[in-house]
Amino acid sequence: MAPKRGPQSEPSSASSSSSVPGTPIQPSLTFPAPPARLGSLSRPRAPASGLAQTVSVGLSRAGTGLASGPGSSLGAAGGLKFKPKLVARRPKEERDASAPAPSSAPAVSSSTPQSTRGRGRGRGRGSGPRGGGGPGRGGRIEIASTAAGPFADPSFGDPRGLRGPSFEKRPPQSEKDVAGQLKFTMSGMSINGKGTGESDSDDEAIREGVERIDIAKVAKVGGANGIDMGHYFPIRDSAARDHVEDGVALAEDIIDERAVSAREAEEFVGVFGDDGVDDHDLERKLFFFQFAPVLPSFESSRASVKLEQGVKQEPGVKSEPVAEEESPLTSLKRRAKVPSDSGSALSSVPGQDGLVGQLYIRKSGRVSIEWGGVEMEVAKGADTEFLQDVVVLDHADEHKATLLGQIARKVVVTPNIDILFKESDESE
Amino acid sequence: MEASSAPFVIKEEDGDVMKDISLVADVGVSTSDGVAKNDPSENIKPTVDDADDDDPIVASFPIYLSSRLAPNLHIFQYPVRPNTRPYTRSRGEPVLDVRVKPQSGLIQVDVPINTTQFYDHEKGEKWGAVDRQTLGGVRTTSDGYMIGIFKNGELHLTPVKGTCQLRPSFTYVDKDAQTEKEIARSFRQDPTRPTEIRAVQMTVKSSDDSAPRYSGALAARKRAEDEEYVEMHWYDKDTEDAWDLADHLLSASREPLIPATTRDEYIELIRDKI
Repeated sequence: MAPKRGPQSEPSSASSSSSVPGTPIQPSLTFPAPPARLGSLSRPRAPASGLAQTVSVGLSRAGTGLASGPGSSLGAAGGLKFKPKLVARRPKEERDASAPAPSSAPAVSSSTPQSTRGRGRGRGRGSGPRGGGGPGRGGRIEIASTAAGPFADPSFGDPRGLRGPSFEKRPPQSEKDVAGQLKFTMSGMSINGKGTGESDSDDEAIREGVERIDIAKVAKVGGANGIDMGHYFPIRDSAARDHVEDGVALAEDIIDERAVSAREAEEFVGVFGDDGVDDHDLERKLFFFQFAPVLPSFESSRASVKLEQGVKQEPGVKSEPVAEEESPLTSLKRRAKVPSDSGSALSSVPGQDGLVGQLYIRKSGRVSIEWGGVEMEVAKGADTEFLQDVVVLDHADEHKATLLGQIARKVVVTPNIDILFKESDESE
Repeated sequence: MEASSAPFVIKEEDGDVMKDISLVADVGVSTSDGVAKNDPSENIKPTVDDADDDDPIVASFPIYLSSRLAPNLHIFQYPVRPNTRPYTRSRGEPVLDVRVKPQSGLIQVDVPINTTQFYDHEKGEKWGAVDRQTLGGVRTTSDGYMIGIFKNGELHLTPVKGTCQLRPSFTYVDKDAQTEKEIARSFRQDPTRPTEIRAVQMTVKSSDDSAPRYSGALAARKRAEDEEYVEMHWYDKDTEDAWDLADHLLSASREPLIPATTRDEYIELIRDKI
C-alpha cells in the first residue's frame, strides 16, 4: 500500500510539508486525501482507504456480480451440463441458498463432512438434488470444497487405516509435537532425547503411540554421526600387516612415523583427511581422483610386458615380474578364493601396472604429484552430500557386481602449467 | 617390502617430531634399478629437483598405476541418497538387484523401500512395486577419473571405466499405465492377430532402412531398447568377493613405468584437448 501511494501522495505532502518538514506524522496527514481520489479506481484492486472497508466492498460487489450474472443467464442451462467441472458454479447456487440459512451451513459441514461431499457430487449431476443440499451449503462453499478434495478426506473420513489416526492425533498435539521433535534432534538423536523433557511425558507417550516418532528415528539413522567413515573400504590389512605378523615389524614402524609427519602437513590433511590423517584412517578410504583428461603416457616397461604375458598364462603372473611383497598377498588370496577367481576377465586385460610418479608433501603443506615427469597440483575436491559407491561390474564373465565401498573424498589433480611451460622453454 | 619403503627413509635428528622428521625423497624413483631404467629414456627428468629450498619435501608417497580392475571399475552416484546412508547390508538396506545393458550402458539398481514409514500401501499394491525402488541411469565414460587408495605408504590408482548417476526411475508407473492401456485396447479390438503379423513384417523392413536414419539420442534410445538387461549378482561390501576384488586395486607391479610423453608433447596434448 505504502509504495503505491507514495508517488501520488507526494505532491500533496510536499505542499503540506513546507510547513512541517520531514516529520513522520506527515504521511498520516496526507493519508485521507489519496483514498478519496483513488477510491473509485482502487476499489477493485482493494488497497485504498481502510482495508476492511475495501475488502468488504470488493467482496460484496464481486459477489453480486457473480451471483447476478451467471445465476440468471447460465444457471438453468449451463449449470446442468458442466457442474462437476467448475467450482465457480457452486458459489452461485449457494448464494441462492445462502440467504435462507447461513448459520446452519457450518454446523452441517463440520459435523458430517462426508455428507457434504456427497452433496457436491450430487449437485454436479443433476439440478434436482440441489434443493436438498441447499440449506446446508450457505456461504461455506469453500470449506466444503476443500473438504471434498481428494486429500482432505482421509483425515476426517473413515477408511485408509493407518493414515487416519495419525492425522487425527496431530492437530491437537501439533505444536507440542514439533517442539518435541526439535528437542529430539537437538538433544542429539539418541534415545536420551526422549527423556529430556520430563514434563512432556504426555507428549512422549503420544508420540510413542504414533508412527510419527519414526521421523525422529529416521533423522537419527541418517544423522550427522551416522557415517562410519572408518569403514568405507574393505581392503585387507594387507601384505605389510601379514609381514608384521610374521615377525617383520619394520614396515609398521615406518608407517607410523610417516603418518606422524604427514599429520603435520595441514594441507595434506585438508586434502586427504577429516581431522588428522592417521595411517589407519588414510588406508581405509577410497579416494576419487580427478586428473586432467590427458596424462603423460608410459611405455610398457619390460616388467609390465612380462606381466601382461604372464596374466594371459595366468599362473605365470606372480612369478618374476611382480615385486616380492606381492606374492604372499596373492598366494594368500588364492588360498582364500577359488583359483578361477583371478583368471576372469578382470585380470586378463592388458594394462599398465607400475610406478608412475610420486605424491609429495612439502613443508608448507603444499601437496603435489609428479606424474611421468610432469608436476601437478593437488587440491581437495568439492565435498558431496550424496552417496557415491565404487562398484566393480563384470558383465562379461560372471555377471558380478561388487561393491567395494563408498567414496570418502574427492581429490583434484591439475597439471602445473607454469612449471610445464617454464621447463619446456628451458629445454628449447 | 624394503624396496617400497625406500622412499621413506627417515631422518630423525631430534626428538621433536614436528620439524625434525623429514622424509628424504629420492627424486621420482624409488628403486635403485628403477633409476637405471628411467635414465635412458631421457624424455622427462623429474621436475621435483628444482624444489625450492625454503619449501622442502617433507614426505612422499610413490604412486602406482593399477590396471587390473580398470575395465570394470565404476562409480555409482546416487544423487538423491545422502552419503550418510549407504546401501549396504550392514546398514540394513543392501542393493537387491543390479541389471546392466553392457552395450548401451544402461544400469538399473533395485534398492529396498522401508515400508513401515511414509509408505502408501495402497499405491504400493497398485504399482506392484511393494518393497523396492528402482534407480536407473546411463553409464558415461570420462577420462582422468581414478580411484586411489593408500596402502603401506603407497598410493595406488586405478582408472575408472565409467560413472553412472542412479536416479529414481518410475518404470512401475509406466508399466501400470501401459498395462492399463493394453487392457483397454484389448477390450476395444478383439481380433488383433492379423495386425500383429503385419507389425512383424514392418519391423523387418524398417530395421534395414531406417537404422542409419536414427542419430544421436534416438539411436541411443533404439540401441538401449534393443538390448536386453543382463542380471548381475550383487556382492555387498563386506563379502569375501569384495575383499578379494579390493585387493586388485593394488598395483600388480612395483616396477617403474617409462614415460612415453615428453613435456612438449604433453603441452601439445593439452592444447589439442582444449
